[in-house]
Amino acid sequence: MLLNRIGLFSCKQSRIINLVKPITNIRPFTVTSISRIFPPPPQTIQGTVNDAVVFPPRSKAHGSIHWNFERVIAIMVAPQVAYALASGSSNAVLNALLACTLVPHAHLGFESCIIDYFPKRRFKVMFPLLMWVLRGFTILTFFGLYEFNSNDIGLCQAIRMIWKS
Amino acid sequence: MLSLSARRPIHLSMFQRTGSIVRRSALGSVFRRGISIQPMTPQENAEELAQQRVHRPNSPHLTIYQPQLTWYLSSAHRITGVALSGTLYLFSTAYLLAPAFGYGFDSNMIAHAVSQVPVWLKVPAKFIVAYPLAFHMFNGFRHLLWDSIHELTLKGVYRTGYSVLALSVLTAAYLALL
Repeated sequence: MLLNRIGLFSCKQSRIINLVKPITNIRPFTVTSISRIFPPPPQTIQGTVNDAVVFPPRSKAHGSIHWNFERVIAIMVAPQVAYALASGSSNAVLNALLACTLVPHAHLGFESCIIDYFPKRRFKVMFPLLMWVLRGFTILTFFGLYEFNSNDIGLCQAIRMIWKS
Repeated sequence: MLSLSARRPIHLSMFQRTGSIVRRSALGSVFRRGISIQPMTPQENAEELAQQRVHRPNSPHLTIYQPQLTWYLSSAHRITGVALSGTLYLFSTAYLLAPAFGYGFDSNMIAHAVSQVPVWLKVPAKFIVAYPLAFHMFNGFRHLLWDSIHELTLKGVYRTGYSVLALSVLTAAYLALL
Protein backbone atom coordinates (compact mmCIF):
# COMPACT_ATOMS: atom_id res chain seq x y z
CA MET A 1 0.00 0.00 0.00
CA LEU A 2 1.61 3.20 -1.06
CA LEU A 3 0.51 6.09 1.13
CA ASN A 4 1.01 9.77 0.82
CA ARG A 5 3.64 10.81 3.33
CA ILE A 6 1.78 13.95 4.16
CA GLY A 7 -1.42 12.64 2.77
CA LEU A 8 -3.82 14.54 4.91
CA PHE A 9 -3.92 17.97 3.41
CA SER A 10 -4.30 18.89 -0.16
CA CYS A 11 -4.93 22.44 -1.02
CA LYS A 12 -5.53 21.94 -4.66
CA GLN A 13 -8.32 20.04 -6.23
CA SER A 14 -7.18 16.43 -6.40
CA ARG A 15 -8.60 13.71 -8.50
CA ILE A 16 -10.27 10.72 -7.01
CA ILE A 17 -7.29 8.50 -7.67
CA ASN A 18 -3.94 9.76 -6.59
CA LEU A 19 -1.13 7.87 -8.21
CA VAL A 20 1.51 8.38 -5.61
CA LYS A 21 5.20 8.70 -6.25
CA PRO A 22 7.36 6.01 -4.64
CA ILE A 23 8.81 7.09 -1.31
CA THR A 24 12.46 7.91 -1.90
CA ASN A 25 13.19 10.63 0.59
CA ILE A 26 12.75 8.80 3.89
CA ARG A 27 15.80 8.72 6.09
CA PRO A 28 15.97 6.11 8.81
CA PHE A 29 15.57 7.59 12.26
CA THR A 30 18.74 6.77 14.19
CA VAL A 31 20.44 8.19 17.21
CA THR A 32 23.82 6.58 16.64
CA SER A 33 25.69 6.80 13.39
CA ILE A 34 24.78 4.46 10.58
CA SER A 35 27.61 2.01 10.15
CA ARG A 36 27.70 -0.02 6.99
CA ILE A 37 29.93 -2.93 7.90
CA PHE A 38 28.55 -5.85 5.88
CA PRO A 39 25.21 -4.25 4.99
CA PRO A 40 22.67 -6.90 4.13
CA PRO A 41 21.71 -7.28 0.51
CA PRO A 42 18.07 -6.91 -0.48
CA GLN A 43 16.25 -9.74 1.20
CA THR A 44 13.83 -11.81 -0.75
CA ILE A 45 11.38 -14.44 0.33
CA GLN A 46 10.99 -17.49 -1.83
CA GLY A 47 7.26 -17.82 -2.40
CA THR A 48 5.22 -16.22 0.37
CA VAL A 49 5.74 -15.87 4.09
CA ASN A 50 3.59 -18.91 4.66
CA ASP A 51 5.77 -21.35 2.75
CA ALA A 52 8.14 -23.58 4.69
CA VAL A 53 11.90 -23.12 4.42
CA VAL A 54 13.51 -25.32 1.79
CA PHE A 55 16.62 -26.98 3.19
CA PRO A 56 19.53 -27.80 0.89
CA PRO A 57 19.73 -31.46 -0.06
CA ARG A 58 21.96 -33.71 2.03
CA SER A 59 25.16 -34.73 0.40
CA LYS A 60 28.24 -36.32 1.88
CA ALA A 61 30.36 -34.83 -0.87
CA HIS A 62 29.59 -31.34 0.38
CA GLY A 63 29.51 -32.37 4.03
CA SER A 64 31.71 -34.84 5.82
CA ILE A 65 33.91 -35.77 2.86
CA HIS A 66 34.61 -32.10 2.12
CA TRP A 67 35.49 -31.50 5.77
CA ASN A 68 37.82 -34.50 5.88
CA PHE A 69 39.49 -33.40 2.67
CA GLU A 70 40.07 -29.92 4.10
CA ARG A 71 41.75 -31.33 7.22
CA VAL A 72 43.86 -33.81 5.26
CA ILE A 73 45.19 -31.00 3.06
CA ALA A 74 45.87 -28.84 6.13
CA ILE A 75 47.73 -31.69 7.83
CA MET A 76 49.82 -32.07 4.71
CA VAL A 77 50.60 -28.36 4.43
CA ALA A 78 51.66 -27.78 8.02
CA PRO A 79 54.86 -29.83 8.31
CA GLN A 80 56.04 -28.72 4.87
CA VAL A 81 55.77 -25.05 5.76
CA ALA A 82 57.27 -25.62 9.20
CA TYR A 83 60.18 -27.53 7.70
CA ALA A 84 60.74 -24.92 4.99
CA LEU A 85 60.77 -22.10 7.55
CA ALA A 86 62.92 -23.91 10.06
CA SER A 87 65.57 -25.31 7.79
CA GLY A 88 65.53 -22.74 5.03
CA SER A 89 66.28 -25.46 2.54
CA SER A 90 64.94 -25.48 -0.96
CA ASN A 91 64.82 -28.34 -3.40
CA ALA A 92 62.64 -29.42 -6.27
CA VAL A 93 60.69 -31.96 -4.25
CA LEU A 94 59.83 -29.51 -1.51
CA ASN A 95 58.77 -26.89 -4.03
CA ALA A 96 56.59 -29.35 -5.91
CA LEU A 97 54.93 -30.73 -2.79
CA LEU A 98 54.36 -27.25 -1.46
CA ALA A 99 52.73 -26.16 -4.70
CA CYS A 100 50.52 -29.26 -4.71
CA THR A 101 49.27 -28.71 -1.16
CA LEU A 102 49.35 -24.95 -0.67
CA VAL A 103 47.19 -24.17 -3.68
CA PRO A 104 44.33 -26.54 -2.70
CA HIS A 105 44.59 -25.27 0.86
CA ALA A 106 44.22 -21.69 -0.29
CA HIS A 107 41.40 -22.67 -2.63
CA LEU A 108 39.48 -24.35 0.17
CA GLY A 109 40.00 -21.34 2.39
CA PHE A 110 38.66 -18.96 -0.22
CA GLU A 111 35.71 -21.27 -0.78
CA SER A 112 34.85 -21.02 2.90
CA CYS A 113 34.99 -17.24 2.68
CA ILE A 114 32.67 -17.18 -0.33
CA ILE A 115 30.22 -19.56 1.34
CA ASP A 116 30.21 -17.43 4.47
CA TYR A 117 29.82 -14.00 2.92
CA PHE A 118 27.84 -14.82 -0.23
CA PRO A 119 25.53 -17.67 0.78
CA LYS A 120 24.03 -19.56 -2.10
CA ARG A 121 20.49 -19.11 -0.83
CA ARG A 122 20.68 -15.34 -1.01
CA PHE A 123 23.06 -14.75 -3.88
CA LYS A 124 21.66 -16.83 -6.69
CA VAL A 125 23.96 -15.39 -9.35
CA MET A 126 26.94 -14.06 -7.41
CA PHE A 127 27.71 -17.34 -5.67
CA PRO A 128 28.29 -19.51 -8.76
CA LEU A 129 30.04 -16.60 -10.46
CA LEU A 130 32.49 -16.16 -7.59
CA MET A 131 33.04 -19.90 -7.35
CA TRP A 132 33.96 -20.14 -11.00
CA VAL A 133 36.17 -17.06 -10.82
CA LEU A 134 37.93 -18.68 -7.87
CA ARG A 135 38.41 -21.93 -9.76
CA GLY A 136 39.86 -20.04 -12.70
CA PHE A 137 42.25 -18.20 -10.42
CA THR A 138 43.28 -21.41 -8.70
CA ILE A 139 44.09 -23.06 -11.99
CA LEU A 140 46.09 -20.01 -13.09
CA THR A 141 47.90 -19.99 -9.75
CA PHE A 142 48.78 -23.67 -9.93
CA PHE A 143 50.00 -23.32 -13.47
CA GLY A 144 51.92 -20.17 -12.65
CA LEU A 145 53.55 -21.80 -9.65
CA TYR A 146 54.47 -24.79 -11.78
CA GLU A 147 56.05 -22.47 -14.33
CA PHE A 148 57.84 -20.60 -11.56
CA ASN A 149 59.22 -23.79 -10.07
CA SER A 150 60.33 -25.01 -13.49
CA ASN A 151 61.74 -21.90 -15.14
CA ASP A 152 62.67 -19.72 -12.22
CA ILE A 153 64.50 -20.73 -9.10
CA GLY A 154 61.58 -22.27 -7.21
CA LEU A 155 59.26 -21.05 -4.46
CA CYS A 156 61.39 -21.66 -1.38
CA GLN A 157 64.58 -20.45 -3.01
CA ALA A 158 62.86 -17.29 -4.24
CA ILE A 159 61.52 -16.49 -0.79
CA ARG A 160 64.95 -17.14 0.67
CA MET A 161 66.59 -14.88 -1.88
CA ILE A 162 64.11 -12.05 -1.35
CA TRP A 163 64.45 -12.45 2.39
CA LYS A 164 68.22 -12.25 2.39
CA SER A 165 68.59 -9.50 -0.19
CA MET B 1 -1.77 -5.11 0.91
CA LEU B 2 -4.33 -5.35 -1.77
CA SER B 3 -3.97 -7.82 -4.51
CA LEU B 4 -6.57 -7.34 -7.17
CA SER B 5 -6.40 -9.38 -10.28
CA ALA B 6 -7.68 -6.50 -12.34
CA ARG B 7 -6.08 -3.19 -11.64
CA ARG B 8 -9.25 -1.28 -11.04
CA PRO B 9 -8.88 1.97 -9.25
CA ILE B 10 -10.70 2.36 -5.97
CA HIS B 11 -13.21 5.10 -5.75
CA LEU B 12 -13.35 7.14 -2.63
CA SER B 13 -16.33 9.14 -3.62
CA MET B 14 -17.60 9.61 -0.08
CA PHE B 15 -14.47 11.38 0.98
CA GLN B 16 -14.58 13.39 -2.13
CA ARG B 17 -18.05 14.57 -1.40
CA THR B 18 -17.27 15.24 2.22
CA GLY B 19 -14.20 17.16 1.34
CA SER B 20 -15.87 19.32 -1.14
CA ILE B 21 -18.60 20.30 1.29
CA VAL B 22 -16.49 21.06 4.31
CA ARG B 23 -14.64 24.30 4.16
CA ARG B 24 -12.12 25.12 6.82
CA SER B 25 -10.95 28.48 5.92
CA ALA B 26 -7.88 29.13 8.00
CA LEU B 27 -6.28 30.07 4.77
CA GLY B 28 -9.46 30.18 2.80
CA SER B 29 -8.66 26.97 1.05
CA VAL B 30 -10.29 23.58 0.97
CA PHE B 31 -8.70 20.90 3.16
CA ARG B 32 -9.44 17.43 2.03
CA ARG B 33 -8.37 14.15 3.47
CA GLY B 34 -6.98 11.95 0.78
CA ILE B 35 -5.85 8.36 0.98
CA SER B 36 -4.62 6.70 -2.14
CA ILE B 37 -4.35 2.96 -2.41
CA GLN B 38 -2.45 1.29 -5.19
CA PRO B 39 -3.11 -2.40 -5.70
CA MET B 40 0.00 -4.61 -5.77
CA THR B 41 0.69 -8.25 -6.35
CA PRO B 42 2.51 -10.21 -3.59
CA GLN B 43 5.69 -10.13 -5.67
CA GLU B 44 5.57 -6.36 -6.03
CA ASN B 45 4.92 -6.00 -2.34
CA ALA B 46 7.88 -8.23 -1.49
CA GLU B 47 10.09 -6.26 -3.86
CA GLU B 48 9.08 -2.97 -2.31
CA LEU B 49 9.77 -4.34 1.15
CA ALA B 50 13.18 -5.53 -0.01
CA GLN B 51 13.92 -2.07 -1.38
CA GLN B 52 12.94 -0.47 1.92
CA ARG B 53 15.14 -2.91 3.84
CA VAL B 54 18.15 -1.84 1.82
CA HIS B 55 17.75 1.70 3.12
CA ARG B 56 17.09 0.70 6.69
CA PRO B 57 19.92 0.87 9.24
CA ASN B 58 21.63 -2.36 10.20
CA SER B 59 21.96 -3.43 13.82
CA PRO B 60 25.58 -3.10 14.94
CA HIS B 61 27.34 -6.42 15.30
CA LEU B 62 31.12 -6.31 15.01
CA THR B 63 31.22 -2.83 16.51
CA ILE B 64 29.45 -3.70 19.75
CA TYR B 65 30.45 -7.29 20.48
CA GLN B 66 32.75 -7.46 23.48
CA PRO B 67 36.35 -7.91 22.35
CA GLN B 68 37.30 -11.49 23.17
CA LEU B 69 40.26 -13.62 22.30
CA THR B 70 37.97 -16.19 20.68
CA TRP B 71 36.55 -14.17 17.88
CA TYR B 72 39.54 -11.84 17.53
CA LEU B 73 41.83 -14.77 16.84
CA SER B 74 39.25 -16.35 14.56
CA SER B 75 38.99 -13.15 12.53
CA ALA B 76 42.78 -12.84 12.50
CA HIS B 77 43.08 -16.42 11.26
CA ARG B 78 40.78 -15.69 8.37
CA ILE B 79 42.31 -12.32 7.55
CA THR B 80 45.88 -13.66 7.61
CA GLY B 81 44.78 -16.65 5.55
CA VAL B 82 43.20 -14.45 2.91
CA ALA B 83 46.25 -12.16 2.88
CA LEU B 84 48.71 -15.04 2.46
CA SER B 85 46.64 -16.88 -0.13
CA GLY B 86 45.95 -13.65 -1.96
CA THR B 87 49.65 -12.94 -2.13
CA LEU B 88 50.34 -16.42 -3.46
CA TYR B 89 47.57 -16.17 -6.03
CA LEU B 90 48.55 -12.71 -7.21
CA PHE B 91 52.22 -13.58 -7.42
CA SER B 92 51.66 -16.77 -9.38
CA THR B 93 49.14 -15.31 -11.80
CA ALA B 94 51.34 -12.24 -12.29
CA TYR B 95 54.30 -14.48 -13.06
CA LEU B 96 52.21 -16.45 -15.51
CA LEU B 97 50.44 -13.59 -17.25
CA ALA B 98 53.06 -10.84 -17.20
CA PRO B 99 54.72 -11.84 -20.50
CA ALA B 100 51.32 -11.70 -22.22
CA PHE B 101 51.10 -8.02 -21.34
CA GLY B 102 54.67 -7.23 -22.23
CA TYR B 103 56.06 -7.02 -18.70
CA GLY B 104 58.89 -9.08 -17.39
CA PHE B 105 58.30 -10.50 -13.96
CA ASP B 106 61.09 -12.33 -12.23
CA SER B 107 62.22 -13.26 -8.78
CA ASN B 108 65.43 -11.37 -9.46
CA MET B 109 63.39 -8.22 -10.02
CA ILE B 110 61.73 -8.49 -6.64
CA ALA B 111 64.99 -9.34 -4.91
CA HIS B 112 66.63 -6.33 -6.50
CA ALA B 113 63.77 -4.04 -5.50
CA VAL B 114 63.85 -5.31 -1.94
CA SER B 115 67.61 -4.91 -1.67
CA GLN B 116 67.24 -1.18 -2.28
CA VAL B 117 65.31 -0.79 0.96
CA PRO B 118 67.41 0.38 3.95
CA VAL B 119 68.08 -2.11 6.74
CA TRP B 120 66.26 -0.22 9.48
CA LEU B 121 63.13 -0.42 7.34
CA LYS B 122 63.71 -3.99 6.24
CA VAL B 123 63.65 -5.71 9.65
CA PRO B 124 60.26 -4.31 10.78
CA ALA B 125 58.90 -4.92 7.28
CA LYS B 126 60.06 -8.52 7.45
CA PHE B 127 58.39 -8.89 10.83
CA ILE B 128 55.17 -7.50 9.41
CA VAL B 129 55.38 -9.96 6.51
CA ALA B 130 56.42 -12.96 8.62
CA TYR B 131 53.90 -12.48 11.40
CA PRO B 132 50.77 -13.41 9.39
CA LEU B 133 52.47 -16.58 8.21
CA ALA B 134 53.58 -17.56 11.70
CA PHE B 135 50.23 -16.72 13.25
CA HIS B 136 48.25 -18.58 10.63
CA MET B 137 50.48 -21.62 10.98
CA PHE B 138 50.24 -21.81 14.75
CA ASN B 139 46.54 -21.06 14.80
CA GLY B 140 46.16 -23.76 12.16
CA PHE B 141 47.80 -26.16 14.58
CA ARG B 142 45.31 -24.95 17.19
CA HIS B 143 42.42 -25.74 14.83
CA LEU B 144 43.81 -29.19 14.11
CA LEU B 145 44.15 -29.71 17.86
CA TRP B 146 40.46 -28.92 18.26
CA ASP B 147 39.58 -31.19 15.36
CA SER B 148 41.28 -34.06 17.16
CA ILE B 149 39.08 -33.30 20.18
CA HIS B 150 41.59 -31.68 22.51
CA GLU B 151 41.43 -28.41 24.47
CA LEU B 152 37.76 -27.95 23.65
CA THR B 153 37.05 -26.08 26.90
CA LEU B 154 37.01 -22.38 27.60
CA LYS B 155 40.22 -22.64 29.57
CA GLY B 156 41.77 -24.71 26.81
CA VAL B 157 40.74 -22.21 24.16
CA TYR B 158 42.28 -19.31 26.04
CA ARG B 159 45.38 -21.30 26.96
CA THR B 160 46.04 -22.34 23.39
CA GLY B 161 45.12 -18.88 22.15
CA TYR B 162 47.72 -17.12 24.26
CA SER B 163 50.30 -19.77 23.36
CA VAL B 164 49.62 -19.17 19.68
CA LEU B 165 50.09 -15.43 20.13
CA ALA B 166 53.34 -15.86 22.02
CA LEU B 167 54.77 -18.46 19.64
CA SER B 168 53.87 -16.47 16.57
CA VAL B 169 55.52 -13.32 17.90
CA LEU B 170 58.69 -15.22 18.75
CA THR B 171 58.77 -17.02 15.41
CA ALA B 172 58.16 -13.85 13.45
CA ALA B 173 60.90 -12.07 15.38
CA TYR B 174 63.29 -14.93 14.67
CA LEU B 175 62.42 -14.90 10.98
CA ALA B 176 62.75 -11.14 10.75
CA LEU B 177 66.26 -11.29 12.09
CA LEU B 178 67.39 -14.03 9.71
